Amino acid sequence: MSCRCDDPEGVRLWSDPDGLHLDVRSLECPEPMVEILKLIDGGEAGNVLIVHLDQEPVFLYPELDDRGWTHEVIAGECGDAACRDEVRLKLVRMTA
Amino acid sequence: MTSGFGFLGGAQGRLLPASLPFRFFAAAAVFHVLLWLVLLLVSDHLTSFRGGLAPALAGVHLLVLGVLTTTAIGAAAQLLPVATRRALVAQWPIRLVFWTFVPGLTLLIAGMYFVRIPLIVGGAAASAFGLVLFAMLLGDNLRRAGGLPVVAAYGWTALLALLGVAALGVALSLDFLRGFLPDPFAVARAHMILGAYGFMGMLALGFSHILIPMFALSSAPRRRPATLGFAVAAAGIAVGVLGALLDRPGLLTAAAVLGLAAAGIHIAIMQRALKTGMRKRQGLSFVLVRAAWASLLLSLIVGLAAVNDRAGPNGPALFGLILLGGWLLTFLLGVLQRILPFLASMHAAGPSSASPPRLSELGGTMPLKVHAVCHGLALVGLTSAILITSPAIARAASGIGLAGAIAFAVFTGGVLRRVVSTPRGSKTGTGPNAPA
Repeated sequence: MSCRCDDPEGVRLWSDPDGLHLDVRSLECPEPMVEILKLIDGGEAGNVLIVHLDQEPVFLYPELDDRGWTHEVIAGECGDAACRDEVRLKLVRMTA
Repeated sequence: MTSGFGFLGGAQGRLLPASLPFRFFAAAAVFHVLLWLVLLLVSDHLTSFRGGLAPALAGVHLLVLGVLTTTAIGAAAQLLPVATRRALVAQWPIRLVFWTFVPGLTLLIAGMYFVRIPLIVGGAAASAFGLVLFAMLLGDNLRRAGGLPVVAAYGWTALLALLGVAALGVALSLDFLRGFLPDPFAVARAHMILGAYGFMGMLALGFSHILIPMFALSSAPRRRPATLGFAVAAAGIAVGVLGALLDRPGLLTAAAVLGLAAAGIHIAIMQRALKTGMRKRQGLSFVLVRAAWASLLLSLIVGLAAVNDRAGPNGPALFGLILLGGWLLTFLLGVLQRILPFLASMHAAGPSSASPPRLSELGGTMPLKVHAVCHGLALVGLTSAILITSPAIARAASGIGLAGAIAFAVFTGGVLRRVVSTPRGSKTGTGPNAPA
């Protein structure tokens, strides 16, 4: 998977072999959380969702827990300086 | 999968150690109980209180500084860095804020209750130092924040108001000693407008632009109406402070009208967020929040009537109750009962626990129900007591408020116990909800 860090504005959604990816970097609080939960609640997230954020979404965790999703911080594969502050989370539906 | 040590950067640093915000919340819960206890003790003089150095003034400052400001500092220290994506410059200043502000305001309140001028002056100086230090921290964080222009504008205005209210507060305390102010009542009115509508009010309105959409799971408010709401609110406060200092009823009337317009815009923005949000059922906390919004409007209507001598002899007391108790305290308690479990859930989670506590497990719902009922009854009771000048009703209402405050302290204590009893994990590599 390649990291596409050149377009930080807006929400980007794409599929890769490791799951559905959602990039919400540069969105203002609380938009990242809302966009992630929209996907999950709308049933579009599948069983694995990789989210790209520019800070750890501390207020998201209790919401994920209430919905039966786990989260795990994972490393990005981007050496680009633009990705230095990226936080990448792997969200997995518990029943998956 | 790999550890998150290397690439999290400063993100996790924005979540303070639990002891920092929670010490403010714990202190506020204690001050909340003391507030209703003092109101109970001074209930004979409560209904006709118009300001001035008297034990009832201790109750006012227990509410404004002890409960509202103490909570606001704890919440802002934790939430602002998360919202602005900029960590606090260091943690020791917020500790210093606590150890100067809380003992300082304790002295100040004791001085007001027992009418001891040296305690008032010393307490005012120490608490003002803590507030100025907090203002510097807030200003530093807002200065480095890139986005959230409307929230930042509210923050800057609250910060300016905080500096103004601290300066006027110190001047008023020194005036008890030297008597140098030409019109201390005018300064006291400006002090109240700056403190209640300026500092606490603007902080509450600003944070609402993040918190209410977050609770409702809706998009952030649109920039244009939010900016308009801010501009009208800021203009109202500026005109109100000027009107109070110059003792011009015309300016105070204009300020109240501007305030009503700003409150109307704000409530409309928040209602839209609630209507369009993914979470439709907001629970008990939003019963309090909605009651607080109604009280915000009512406070401005009563203020308008009081300025124009149409609120009766106890108009100033009624205005103070609806503004401080109805709007600010009710709003803060409604929001706090949502924030505390959220923060506790994040802090209590760690590798040592297979699963973090769920929100519903953190703090019982029964204490919150008891608190909400008692809080509502107490405010209605105090309003009635002021309207018909009945110390007996004021006493009964304060007793009910005390029971509610104890219930809220039980809730806060329950949340704190969960935070303290669960070791904080490093939260790197795997999140708190991930299987061990």
